[in-house]
Amino acid sequence: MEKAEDSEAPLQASAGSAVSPVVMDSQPVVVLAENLQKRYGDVEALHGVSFEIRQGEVFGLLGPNGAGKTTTIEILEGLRQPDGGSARVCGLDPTSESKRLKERIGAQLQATVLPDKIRTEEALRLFASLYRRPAPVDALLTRFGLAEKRHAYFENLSGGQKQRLALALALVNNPELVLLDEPTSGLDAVVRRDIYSLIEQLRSEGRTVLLTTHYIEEAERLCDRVAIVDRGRVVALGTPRELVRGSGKGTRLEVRVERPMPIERIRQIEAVLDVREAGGAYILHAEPVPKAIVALVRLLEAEGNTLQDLHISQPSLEDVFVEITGRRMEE
Amino acid sequence: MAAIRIALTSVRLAMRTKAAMFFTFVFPLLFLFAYAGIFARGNPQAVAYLFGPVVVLQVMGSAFWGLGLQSVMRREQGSLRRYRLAPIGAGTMVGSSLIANFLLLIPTVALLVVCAMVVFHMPLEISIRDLAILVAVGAFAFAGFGLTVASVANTMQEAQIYNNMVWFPLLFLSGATFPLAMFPQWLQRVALFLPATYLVSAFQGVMSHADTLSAHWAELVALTVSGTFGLLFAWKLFRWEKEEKMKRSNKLLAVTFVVPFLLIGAWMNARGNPGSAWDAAFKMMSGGDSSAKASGSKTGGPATAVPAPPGSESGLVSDFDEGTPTAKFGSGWTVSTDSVMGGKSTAEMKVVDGGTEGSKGSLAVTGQVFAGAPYPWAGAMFYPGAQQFAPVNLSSKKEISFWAKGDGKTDRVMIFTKSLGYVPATQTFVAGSEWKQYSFPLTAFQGTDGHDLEAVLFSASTDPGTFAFQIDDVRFK
Repeated sequence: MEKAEDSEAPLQASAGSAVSPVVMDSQPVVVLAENLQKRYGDVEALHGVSFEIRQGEVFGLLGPNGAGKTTTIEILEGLRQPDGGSARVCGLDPTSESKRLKERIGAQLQATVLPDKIRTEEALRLFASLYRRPAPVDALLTRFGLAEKRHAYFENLSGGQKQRLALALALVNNPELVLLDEPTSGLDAVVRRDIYSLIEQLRSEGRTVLLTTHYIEEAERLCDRVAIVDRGRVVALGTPRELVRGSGKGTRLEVRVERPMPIERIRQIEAVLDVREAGGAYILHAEPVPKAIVALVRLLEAEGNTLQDLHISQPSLEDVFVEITGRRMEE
Repeated sequence: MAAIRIALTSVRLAMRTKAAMFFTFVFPLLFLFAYAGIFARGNPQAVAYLFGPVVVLQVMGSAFWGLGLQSVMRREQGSLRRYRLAPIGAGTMVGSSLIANFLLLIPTVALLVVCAMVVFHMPLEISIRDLAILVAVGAFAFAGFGLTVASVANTMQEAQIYNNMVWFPLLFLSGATFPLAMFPQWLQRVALFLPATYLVSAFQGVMSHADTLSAHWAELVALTVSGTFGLLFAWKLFRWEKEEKMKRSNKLLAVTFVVPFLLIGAWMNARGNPGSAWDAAFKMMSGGDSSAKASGSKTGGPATAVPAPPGSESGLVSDFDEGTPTAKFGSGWTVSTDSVMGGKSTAEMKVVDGGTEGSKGSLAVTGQVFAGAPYPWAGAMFYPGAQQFAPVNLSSKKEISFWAKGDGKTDRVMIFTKSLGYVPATQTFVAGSEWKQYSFPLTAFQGTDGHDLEAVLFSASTDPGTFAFQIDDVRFK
């Protein structure tokens, strides 16, 4: 299968994955999306989304709400029909070969709604029974920490337990490809980390995973490669490291000073690429960093101001997103 | 069998839901007790007659308000999406709904049967197998209806509106609430376009007329065809997502949903108006006698050339000289009162010594008429046909004649004919202390010529109070 071209991915890296580039590139393509288009009435949800996912890869679609992530994943699941473009998943057409495809993929919806009175184990056994090669339900209950809740009604499960059940349901058919639509959305940090480790287990099992998220941390931590999606387009694609490196953003400095000062003064400091204010601090991107820090300290001394705090970090995908779209992820 | 697995889970879920349990078990029992206790006054025959409508209400209710609305609710809530990710199609979902609905109806109907038999001593002439077939066919027919409404409706609110639009005509024009026999003929014709009519008609035939199920093959065929069309529509129009809107072509298809019912209604009408069968079933209930049940009957078609009853040539009905209330032809005499319609009137009849002109015996009828029933009556009824209310041709006779004496009050002689329907034609007479002969031309009974005569009732007047009269030498001349 030919590798999909992605003309709308300006930051697409030519190098392989940071995790195992050689291995990844040699793996067969499991998902191929080519120029997917979708319109809901007057709203154009997808403007030609293209990417490919190779076997064993954890691939993320990162973008704000309404970017087109869910529409893309639902087209790949066979739940929606694209208005243009094409998709192949596990070598099958999601629309015309939907039934065969569903035997081979597992999916977790953005919101999994089950009847209030269905028990955890009952739900797993029911859905497992709908497939030709079901996974052992007891093993799933144990693996997802639901063994003690096997007799609990769905309505009595906590948010985290419901999400774990949704993930377990995505694995009832022992799928080759797992599609997760915002698997940690709305969950607290502890539960989110819990879900991260479950997804990392999927990776270690060699399963191919496609997940959508609007959490930078999630994409950076879990994904081998990320496609940043905005307004129905893939605006960047690559490993998180490649994207950051390719952004030309330089190192990120978070500076707090005793007295506020005009942002223009900071922008004029040598080696500073850009600056903005956020939460009482100045966020700078600079290169080379030592030169910028020295110049900053000198400026503060000259103005009788004091440096209170300084954090140095590499730029994040958030920065990449801001650079490409001119907006922050949550806007 | 994915559909069966989903259906079994649906049944288990219903059993865990209080509202579902109420509407599955308690609600139909309330209907049974209301119908049997209030309308039938505990009369076993009347309970048998009303048992069909109670079951039909449950079958229809579960299809429209259970199955249909639940289907829309699942779509609105988004729980169908989870099923959509599995390798199953719309047919599996429709099939599972159908199976679950039937599985839930089995214990409901069983409970109704047991209660009707134990509490109200309802006779059950139909076999369990035939009852299951009838319920299954009904459930099949109306599941298609309910699911089609669910497929067409975009929201719960819309579904409720559509349900009401379909539900009320089915409820009030099918005989499930008002007896079909009470309808004018043109409305009976209209009722034949409604699938619910077929189920009510078949139920009442087998429950209170001891018909075999095969006697109602036409109704069963019509219901099966209705159900098949309904389920095909439901399958074709099935939507998984609330955002999915109906395509224009499907909207047109939805409009054609009524076509099969028009065709079936036309076919049923072409077969003839089964009004006589409905009348017979209803009057059977009113008569409160089961003697004719064993002999069976034929329903479902028009009464065409009605024969003269054998033994009627001389015209003599009864002279009561043998000491028993027997008749020279027909199926004899029974007590008939308004108790089956909720009244409290009572009557007794017995052959007593001494009749007119020195004959050996006569029929004494005594009792009390109470106010309260819409049409109070109490007296003795003669059926000229081999079965109660089976019409016979006595057009060779021109009048009815009898001798009577009594307490001096006004009494009534009432004639039932097929063409008159449920309401009999009445003439009155005053039976004094001496025997006197009374003769009424048949034409005096709303112009009847006796060609479709079903019954003759000698009754006290509608005035409350005790009554007593004797009749003798009843004959057609």
